[in-house]
Amino acid sequence: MSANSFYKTLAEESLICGRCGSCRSECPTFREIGWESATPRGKISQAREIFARQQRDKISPEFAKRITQCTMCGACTKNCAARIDLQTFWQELRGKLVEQGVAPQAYTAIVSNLKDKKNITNFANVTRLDWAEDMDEVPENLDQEPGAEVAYFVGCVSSFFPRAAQIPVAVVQLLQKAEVNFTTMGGEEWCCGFPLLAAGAAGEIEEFVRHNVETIQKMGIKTLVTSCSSCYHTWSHVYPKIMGKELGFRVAHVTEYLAELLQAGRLVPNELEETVTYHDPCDLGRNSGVFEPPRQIIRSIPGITFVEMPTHGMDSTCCGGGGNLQGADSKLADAIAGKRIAEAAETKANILVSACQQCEQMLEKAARKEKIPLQVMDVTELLWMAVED
Amino acid sequence: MVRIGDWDFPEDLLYDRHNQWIANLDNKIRFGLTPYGLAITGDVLYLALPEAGAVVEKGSGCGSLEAGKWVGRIYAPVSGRIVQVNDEVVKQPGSIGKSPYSNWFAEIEPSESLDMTELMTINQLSDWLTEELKQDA
Repeated sequence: MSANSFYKTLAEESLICGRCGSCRSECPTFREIGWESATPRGKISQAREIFARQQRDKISPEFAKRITQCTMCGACTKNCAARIDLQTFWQELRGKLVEQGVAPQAYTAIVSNLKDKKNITNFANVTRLDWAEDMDEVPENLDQEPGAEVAYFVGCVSSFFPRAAQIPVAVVQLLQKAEVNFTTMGGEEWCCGFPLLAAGAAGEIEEFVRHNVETIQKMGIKTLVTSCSSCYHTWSHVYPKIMGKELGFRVAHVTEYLAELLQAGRLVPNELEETVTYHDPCDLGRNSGVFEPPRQIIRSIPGITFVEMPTHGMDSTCCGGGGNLQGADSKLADAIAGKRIAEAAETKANILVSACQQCEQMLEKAARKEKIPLQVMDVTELLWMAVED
Repeated sequence: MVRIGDWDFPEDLLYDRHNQWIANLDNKIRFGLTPYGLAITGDVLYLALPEAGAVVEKGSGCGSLEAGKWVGRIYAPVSGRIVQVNDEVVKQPGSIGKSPYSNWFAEIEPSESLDMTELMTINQLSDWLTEELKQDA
């Protein structure tokens, strides 16, 4: 829920919509599908019929499909002339899918994994630091080191998906280089809970929130840093609401923290002759307001030519990777990514960076599929390339 | 070839319960993903395999494959030493989708105590997979 939200119930919120259609203009799903039923306006209309006007009882199979065909990118929320809290609306609508037993199998599977393993895979949570085996030397302070001031919250994807493991390796090396007193939660790190919200299981998130916050508080951490944009958004916007109070420690995205280290001269990048463009992840940029720190990092590297994509910042176009869409409709997710990678290619950059492992996975796959010669990496990997000896 | 469900399986291969096929070549075992394994995984985006020379234990994880929001383990079908990794499939994991039987993962030189008793013949696979498909239906 946004800070200025007046959201009460799904039914009441659905009555606010004036059918202006502003939400359609930047909806990545509507751009691919083209039908009104796939627009935010169309989905609100159907929700109004069922939940506000009781003209129907059940969510139809087609409406159920449309509800899942959404990356929760927030473009509609940004454009809504009536300031409807659409992010909360979509989450609650997905909850209705679950209530009526029409949620897709992908949602059921992810919720089941989360309840059982406390992460989005079916691997044991104690293996959360296995990615560190890629390092030449595993730092001694990595696993719940007492006295650390900074905790690096790695996130499920970077912890368990080998392709994304390069990100925590880069982050840890950068923190070591800057002599930061840091650690991780190790096997006590549970999923941030965002996939539960996107899968219509918002009621299950409180256990995850309390566990994560209480663990960090017990560790005496002053700053929690995360490299996942969705984890960052969930920690900074959802966690305080569920806890009912401020967390008592700072939550920063790794780009914010690294930008500060660069500013303080604790990291000094060497020259890199590359042309780089940057994809704003929806959960970091539009949904959390963090635009400048990743750009500060890129611009701090001598020799880099930085080129913006036509849609960037608040107007950035989604990569297709969010909102559990990959599980629910992978073809649609890929089509959305295809449009975004084409936009990146137009910049003539040779490197596309982002600040979210999910965006990078989507865009790397799209670049490969479209045979676009664009190297995709995380901004932390780019910075490490510039900083390492 | 034997048809089980929607997929074809060569009769002269062995199979395990991790949806992998195993070829018993002279002095080495070659293995990869079955078309059924590919169907339930989805488009393979990333493959992590052990390096040549690594010692693996039968049934334990020796690599991983990623497909979108899913990640799974690759399991050593026999104990032994990895003698060759298919670098082409590591570079282009999507190629598994075109031909799962040609795009193998790795070759293992089995240890002296080669134990293939838990691997399934085509008939055993047929019984097992038919049951799996019924449960998933």
